[in-house]
Amino acid sequence: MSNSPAANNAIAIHFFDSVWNKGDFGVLESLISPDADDHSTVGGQPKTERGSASFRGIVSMFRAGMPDIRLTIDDEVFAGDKVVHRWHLVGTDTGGLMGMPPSGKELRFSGTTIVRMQDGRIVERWANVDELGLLQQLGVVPPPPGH
Amino acid sequence: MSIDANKAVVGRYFHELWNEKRGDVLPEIAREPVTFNFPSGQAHRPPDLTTWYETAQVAFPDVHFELNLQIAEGDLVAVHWSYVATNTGPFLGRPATGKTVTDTGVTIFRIEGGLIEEMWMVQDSLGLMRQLGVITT
Repeated sequence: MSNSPAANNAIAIHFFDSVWNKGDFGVLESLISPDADDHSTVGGQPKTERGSASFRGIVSMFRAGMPDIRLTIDDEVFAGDKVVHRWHLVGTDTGGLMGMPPSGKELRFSGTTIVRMQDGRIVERWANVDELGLLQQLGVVPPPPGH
Repeated sequence: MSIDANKAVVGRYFHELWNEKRGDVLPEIAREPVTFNFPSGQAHRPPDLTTWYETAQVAFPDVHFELNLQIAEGDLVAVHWSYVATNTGPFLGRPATGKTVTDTGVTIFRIEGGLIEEMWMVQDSLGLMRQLGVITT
């Protein structure tokens, strides 16, 4: 049975709020299909992984580096079996990220996540994140030319 | 305007403006200056769509987009896209590299009265800057 687009959006909001803002990783098992395809870009390379492990790893890393991290959803677009969220994350870097020592700085970065839902669970996820903006704030790479 | 009409405008943006290089359609699909919402890591930050298009025609004249996903609701259209382009002209104050680059991202368009008014984008700027050799770390 498929849910309405609005019901899919409500599930997606609950999922991302639970994981990012509450550290409730139980929903990784209950709301991501074990054979879900997870598409992301890391280090400038696109990759696709199976199941919830890759997303768990990303959230674990950021919650360890920024324990006060907060996800805010800025826009929601949902139709058919897909939900698009435009979001930003804000947190204080007290634990260190990307192999860097803690900067103590408040970091802010943005992205979009698209999920495809089936029977109330995420069966595919596309994450597009301003990774370069984050690395620039961390001082890992220099600011862009002209800045 | 209907959701289908909004999707059609965005389709023209990618296919006619960017892929067919029809700069003449710009006034039919967008109200300049389009409001751009760039992420902090985006290197190229043009003031309007006309400037963006003209810059790309010099730096990446063969750019070709593929639309992977299109999701529309209300006045918003979200597109997950990829492009392939060859850097045959100056870009970001640097000479042409001759390199062929690929990129993927998402653009959310706000359409009003059949015209693109505002865009939010995120793309793999890190991958792009590495492919162009701007970032070597």
